Amino acid sequence: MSNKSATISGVARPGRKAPWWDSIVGGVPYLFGFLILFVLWHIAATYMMKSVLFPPPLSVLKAALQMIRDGSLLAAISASLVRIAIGFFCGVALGVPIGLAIGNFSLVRKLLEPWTEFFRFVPPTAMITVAVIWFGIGEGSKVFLIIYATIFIVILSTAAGVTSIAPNKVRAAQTLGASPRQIFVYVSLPATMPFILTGMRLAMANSFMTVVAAEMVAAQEGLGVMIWTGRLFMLVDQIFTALLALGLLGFAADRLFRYGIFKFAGQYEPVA
Amino acid sequence: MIEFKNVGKTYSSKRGGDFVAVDNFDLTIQRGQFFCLLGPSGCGKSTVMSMLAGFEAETAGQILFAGRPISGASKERGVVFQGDDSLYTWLSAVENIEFGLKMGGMPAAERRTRAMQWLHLVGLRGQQDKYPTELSGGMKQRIQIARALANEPQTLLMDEPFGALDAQTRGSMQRELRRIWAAAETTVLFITHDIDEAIVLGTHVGVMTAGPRGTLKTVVPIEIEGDRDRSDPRYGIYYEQIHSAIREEVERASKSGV
Repeated sequence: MSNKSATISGVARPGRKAPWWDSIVGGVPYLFGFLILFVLWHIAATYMMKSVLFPPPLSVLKAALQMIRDGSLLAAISASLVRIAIGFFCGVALGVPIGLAIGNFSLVRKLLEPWTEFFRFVPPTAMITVAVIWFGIGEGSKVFLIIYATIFIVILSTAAGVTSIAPNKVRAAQTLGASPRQIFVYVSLPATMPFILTGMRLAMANSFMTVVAAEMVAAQEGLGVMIWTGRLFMLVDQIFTALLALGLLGFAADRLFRYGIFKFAGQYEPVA
Repeated sequence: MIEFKNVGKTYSSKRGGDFVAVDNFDLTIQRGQFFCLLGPSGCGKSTVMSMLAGFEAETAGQILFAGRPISGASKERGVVFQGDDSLYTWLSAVENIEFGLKMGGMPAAERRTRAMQWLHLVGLRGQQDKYPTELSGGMKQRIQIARALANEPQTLLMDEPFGALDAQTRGSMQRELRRIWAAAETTVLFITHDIDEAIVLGTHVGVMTAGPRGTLKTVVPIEIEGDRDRSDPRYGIYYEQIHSAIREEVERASKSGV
């Protein structure tokens, strides 16, 4: 059955006229892929590496259910997600205009490029200590780190997007009577959108990485804390539950962005 | 009326040494003419168009449009570009065509009606919701033409618009363009390197000398009314006349080039 659905989704184009169930049918191979992952995990954990340090999926699932019932999993997820959301949103809100300015004005580019080129090579995890010293162990330091993890990628890809706009797109708009402001809103911005979204997509992955590292060092709650305390008390199921949650959340966030990219990139133009 | 008065364009290179693309270019195009500018590749014909469009400034002489010097691009001079990279990939065919009307502040319903008329006129009936990436090269070129015409410019500048099309599509597009030009009373400057295309389309054919320092060699008025027939003896005479003019230039270009 899954074989048949794969063929259907391969032929049908992910376009406007596709029936509503098409995206669900298209998702079947993904579910199948996940299923294989769990089956292999199960085989590896129950038959090949029998160890308390490598729990099979069912025992992790049981732990996860337990943690959902007592509310601790949701509390950890929401703590991490809120941090990511705030930091990511701020990082994008700052990064996109800066990237647009860099891409459009060579003076701004020359002024800011030393910054972006310098901090790009100082990883967020290296900034954890600094963040804690500056902003304490509260929310401030985590949000700062996620902004830091997000902003440079978004700036770079936005600026790259601006410079890659075909000059004829802008020239055409000029001959069609568009004002500079209209050119920015109706040409430059939509033409850059796929690049902005690609930058956001990469930045989101970076945010996930950073939030876990930051929470391991200094936090009361969150998925990183779950992993860290799990290590202290040898709660291996708890660690794996956190890993599972991270993977699933990241996957969902990434799907969302891919959808956005395809929507803005002209129906079938591959961008990312 | 378009007047080129001793127009020159010099590009200065970073390694030193200037490149003179166009030199002493003199030409007057009257209102309503269909002027085809013909020349070997590298003769500067695209540079001429680019200056008239307002994308680049002349470095010598003067270009007058309706008696006034040109300062930047304007919607008085619509442009159809050589490739398809000027189309907006995030907009559908009809949205591309109505772009200029939208910029001018025309209400949505009215501009959609107009854009649909142009869509039909260039033979894209039923393709209005397709995105440029879903359309063939010929269809994309039609959107470009419709987009430029929907804005009703006084002058239409076209830079080898049919260069990338197959012979079949090219022929039908040429006929369409003649028809639209006759109906809309616009002035057309049409850049091409195809002698046949120039004679079939133009009321006047200008031949440029080989580059660098490209300039206008001669202008041949095509005095055939209505549709051009390739079996018409006058077509053959014009072809021979223009062909010999351009062959000299191609030979000169190949001698000085390599």
